[in-house]
Amino acid sequence: MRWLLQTLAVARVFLRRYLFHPVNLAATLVLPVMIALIFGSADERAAMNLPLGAVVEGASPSGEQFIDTLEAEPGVTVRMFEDRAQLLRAVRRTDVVGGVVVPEGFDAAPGGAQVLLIADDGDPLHAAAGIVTTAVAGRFGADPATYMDRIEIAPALASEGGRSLGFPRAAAGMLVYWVFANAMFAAALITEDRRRGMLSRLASTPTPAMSIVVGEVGGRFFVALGQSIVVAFVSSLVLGTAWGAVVPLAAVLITASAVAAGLSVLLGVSLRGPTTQSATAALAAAGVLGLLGGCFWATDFVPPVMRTVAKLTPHAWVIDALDELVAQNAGVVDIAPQLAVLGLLAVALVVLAAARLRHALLAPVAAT
Amino acid sequence: MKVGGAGLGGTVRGSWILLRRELAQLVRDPIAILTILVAPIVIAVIASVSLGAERSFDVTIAVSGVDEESVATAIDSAKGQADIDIIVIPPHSAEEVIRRGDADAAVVVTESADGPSAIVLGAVGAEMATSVAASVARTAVAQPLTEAVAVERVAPGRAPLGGSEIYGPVIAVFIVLFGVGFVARSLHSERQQGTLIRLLASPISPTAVLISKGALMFVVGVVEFLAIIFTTTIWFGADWGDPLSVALVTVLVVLLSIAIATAIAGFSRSSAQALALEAAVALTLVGVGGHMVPMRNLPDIAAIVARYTPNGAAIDAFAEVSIGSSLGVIAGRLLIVVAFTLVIGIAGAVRIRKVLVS
Repeated sequence: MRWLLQTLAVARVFLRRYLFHPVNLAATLVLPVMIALIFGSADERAAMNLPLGAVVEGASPSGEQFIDTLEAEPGVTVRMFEDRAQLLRAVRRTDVVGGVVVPEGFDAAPGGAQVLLIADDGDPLHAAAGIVTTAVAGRFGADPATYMDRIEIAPALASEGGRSLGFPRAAAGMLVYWVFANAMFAAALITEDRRRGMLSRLASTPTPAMSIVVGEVGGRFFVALGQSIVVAFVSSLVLGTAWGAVVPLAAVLITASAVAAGLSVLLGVSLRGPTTQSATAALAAAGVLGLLGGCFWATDFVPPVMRTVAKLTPHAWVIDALDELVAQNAGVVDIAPQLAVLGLLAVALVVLAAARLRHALLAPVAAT
Repeated sequence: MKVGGAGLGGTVRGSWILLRRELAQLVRDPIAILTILVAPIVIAVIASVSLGAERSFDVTIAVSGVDEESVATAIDSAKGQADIDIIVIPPHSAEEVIRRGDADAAVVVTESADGPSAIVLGAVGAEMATSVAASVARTAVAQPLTEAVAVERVAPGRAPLGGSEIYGPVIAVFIVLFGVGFVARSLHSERQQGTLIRLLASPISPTAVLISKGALMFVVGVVEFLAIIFTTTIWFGADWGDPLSVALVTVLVVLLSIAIATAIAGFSRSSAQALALEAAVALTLVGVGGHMVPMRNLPDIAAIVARYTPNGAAIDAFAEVSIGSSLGVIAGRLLIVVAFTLVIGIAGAVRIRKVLVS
């Protein structure tokens, strides 16, 4: 009982130091949802929108009609330009993913009319723009009543190997990034305690080393888990993100939080130097891990080597599991490989962190 | 040793000596080297490799129903260079095929008294393939097809901006903006340690102290930019465009960061406040300035706002320089950067002098 109270006291001290700081609170609760909103809305547009540029050269009612037909296609938005030079610039700048030029004399050539499509065949979005433009060109002149309301698009289906896009993907990426970034930033608190001799003073009290170790890891675990739950809940409310079934989601969030807590303590006892330097180094490492692990973009679109590298980070395993919950409606059994990897990693990190923290506690002041 | 003295010459000499001291400290600090030189390169490499990969529109579309051949023909004739596989599936199996992951989208054509119609199904994450399939399905059922228009494909000449050309400038501006707090933190730290008051008691003027900090930031900012420019150019073949124009935009962005740093130092009272202000300013600018995603994917209003932020205008200017636009084209963007720099810089300079003198 006494041991438990001592452990809780250590955890409570950490929680008070960490959570009572406005910047930490913002980074824990507000920023993940805000950035997910920016990423998510952009990702939704990237996944579903085909922004095309267009120029109608000369007065051409048929040309205008062609552009109107193009704009009525699913997902297509058309931005008009004054001339070809401006359109070409927009294509090169990637402001649009293809440019349609309706040349002068389009009206005068019924049956033999032609439009130009400025597109780079090497780009997948340009290829999609080419297909849609060709499809519209292929039916131009047909009675819209025979095709406009005759095609129904059904709601998207979860599928094996499917991957989420838009808000769900962005929310998952930001949840994982900020859980690990905040945990790694919190590592600096242990570095500060070491420098100020707090760990040594703590070790000289009757508090057992194991209470300190469990308290430090436990405090971080509850911050990470609490943040995950809040971000998942708020993003469901604000962004409409569906996270799949509760039990597998809970399993993912618990294992991810345990990995983050272990990593935080291990990093804290491993870093040297002033607190601000340790915090900077921890944040830089968090950024690199987030980039590699697919927090900011889907690893499905990166080269195979980067996909392999991503698997070296815990982030990629968490995102992979969350992705399966959202896009494939997966259960605990389906995500067992990811949970096993995260579980093993959590155990390894916590054991290693505990051993090093114990060592730091028991070491003489000069050595710490 | 007399290092300062009155007048402009004294200020310059004092600034130079302080700058040399700061630079000497910086190059001996492994964390500083990590954040100034290594982190920008690592981030540029990761982003360029990840986002610059060659991709194709590689999808599988399943077709079934009464007029499956016409849908397959319509897809085949429209696909151009795209890598589209067409599979013909038995009726009523479209949903199963999608759920199994055997196809990204499926077109099921049905016949009614009014003529053919179709349902298009797609997998989560394959929304673009679903839209494209719907477009082609419309063509397959359209009647009558008498005035079809030919589409001639034309290459855009210079290829559209690649991953490293889009994200190189984005990362460079991002890194410089996130480094603005270190001057403020360094000033507050010197104040807390008492070295600042001793420095100001010497013949070195407050102006010389400020100029040395600004010069240090300038050097650091330019080094960060150069690291990213060289990395993306040499490893990934990024074309940043005319070197003089690139240099001009770079210098203006670095001056902007110095102005923001001065303001943060002037308006914060401690290292902790400086850190909080730095995070707030940098994250706001990065979020609003359209750093994180291509501008075309932002909602319209967000794209307009992004272009009028100093960092958004600078990134836009880099994109224009990269595709070969002249200085005249980017003049408006540069004016936005200069205007922000002047307003923020002057406010910060007035404030920080008071802080230093007090």
